[in-house]
Amino acid sequence: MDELLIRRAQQGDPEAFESLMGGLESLVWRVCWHYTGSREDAADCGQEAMLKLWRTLPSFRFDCAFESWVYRVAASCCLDWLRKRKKEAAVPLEPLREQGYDPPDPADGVEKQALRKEELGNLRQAILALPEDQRDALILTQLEGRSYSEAASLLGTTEGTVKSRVNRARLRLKAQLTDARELSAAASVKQKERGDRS
Amino acid sequence: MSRPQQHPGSRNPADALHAAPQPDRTVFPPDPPEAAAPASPSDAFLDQALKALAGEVPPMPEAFSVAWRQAVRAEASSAAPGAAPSREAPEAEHTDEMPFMSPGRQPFPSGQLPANTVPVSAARKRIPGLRRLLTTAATVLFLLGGTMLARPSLFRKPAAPVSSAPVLSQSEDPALPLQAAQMIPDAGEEMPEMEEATEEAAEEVAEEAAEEVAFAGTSDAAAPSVDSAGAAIPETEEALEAALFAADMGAVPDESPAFPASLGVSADMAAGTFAAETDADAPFEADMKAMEAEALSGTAAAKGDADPSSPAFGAREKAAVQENGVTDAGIGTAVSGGADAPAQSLPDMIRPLGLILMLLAAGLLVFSRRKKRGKE
Repeated sequence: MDELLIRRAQQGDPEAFESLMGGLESLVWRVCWHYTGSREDAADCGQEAMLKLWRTLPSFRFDCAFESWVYRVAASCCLDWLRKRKKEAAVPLEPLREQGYDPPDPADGVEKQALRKEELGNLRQAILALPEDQRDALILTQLEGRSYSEAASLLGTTEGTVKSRVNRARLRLKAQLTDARELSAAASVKQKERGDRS
Repeated sequence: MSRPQQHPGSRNPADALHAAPQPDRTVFPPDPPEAAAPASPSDAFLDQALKALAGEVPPMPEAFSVAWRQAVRAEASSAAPGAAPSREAPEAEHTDEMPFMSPGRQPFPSGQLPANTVPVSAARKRIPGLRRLLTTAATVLFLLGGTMLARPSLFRKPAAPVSSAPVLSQSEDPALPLQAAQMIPDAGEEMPEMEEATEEAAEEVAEEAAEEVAFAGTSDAAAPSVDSAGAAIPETEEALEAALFAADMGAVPDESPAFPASLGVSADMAAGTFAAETDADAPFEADMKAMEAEALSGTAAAKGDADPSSPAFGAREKAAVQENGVTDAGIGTAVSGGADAPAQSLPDMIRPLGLILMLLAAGLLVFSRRKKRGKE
């Protein structure tokens, strides 16, 4: 049934494509969310991913599961989107401050939230900085909640390979997060010292 | 099989069996659905962070679903007129040089092919009938033309072997071989008519030769050559021409020495003119002599029944030389001798012909390629 839908979509039938992707749009959405971290960006990125899937569907050769092909296309589309975003959104804060922009001082409750957000942001950046195979394995198993066997079938590898990739990815993330925590702790101590002096 | 680690401080290997198992350094993280307790504080922090990150995923908004559907429909409708070529470009590129199906690609199931789609394999079957024919013809023409251009000698007719036997060969003059073929009898077959004709011709030529001798005798020019039988052989071209002229006109040869006078030419004048022209044409005369000698020997050998010492042979040979440019004597050699002069110009004709053939082949190739593109 799926194969028939895929072939019809490959011939340019948009309805077949919609019914085909109806069960996979949540996957695309979550992948986009994990890569972007914001609702709007995920929506934009997800739409681009869907259009890319529609354009590149004729090149699908049935040599892997359709779901894994969708995941790969969506992930590569997200990476492209992030590269574009990096170029556009590299705006430093200092010129904005000179123009009168004053970010709100973190209060107690807000500080915790901000710290948590910062940590999660760091974690997301660390995940995105991982090698592609490790990142895919980590996202599928640790963030998407899929089992190792499912992840293995999606990625087209064995379960053991997925496990070792996840293990290596976690080791890297741990190291990076520890460094980040130490740095942020040192920075907060310095800030406190400056505040006491002043 | 790994060797059990021995407990430090104990020399008994059995202690190793009871020793606490060392933690494996390559322990994989637990399967996510059956998440186990973290092994270290940093692991706990990481797991917590990952859980938080996974739980942060908001539900998919309805707008997203609507937006991508609209975008896909818009793209499909906008690309509808040109959609087929753009979306099916990878398939349209399949030509003779490429297999119809990509390695991993499966053929369409029966009945799944859209109505407006022509399988490339079917189109491919239709295309190359005429194209292959044209290509083959072009290749043949190209090879032929190239060979003609490069080696025209291959297309030249082989020269007639110089032999004593009368050989009938092709001539450039189409009428001459036919006449010769009609005149020459088969080997060993007797032809009385032919013998009569030969006798008549011999008589005629003998008369002409006698006339020529008389004509030459009145002049101061060099004495005429004498063949083996002592008959005079006309040597100069003018004498030959005069003899032929007389034979053609049917004039009764005058054997008297005053024959030139009967033509209105004094003997002295004629002799003087001949002498002057003979001196001027000395090299040509030498060539002619050599040719005559060849002709006579050839004739003598060729015609066993004729008298080689007859002066008719010399005159006849000269007539043949004058008319056809032959170098050999006899009927057969007269026929074959005519091919000598055109054979020199044959390569000149073959080379342009080869060039034309090659150009034609190139044109055919271009035409066939265009035909193929048009069909595609």
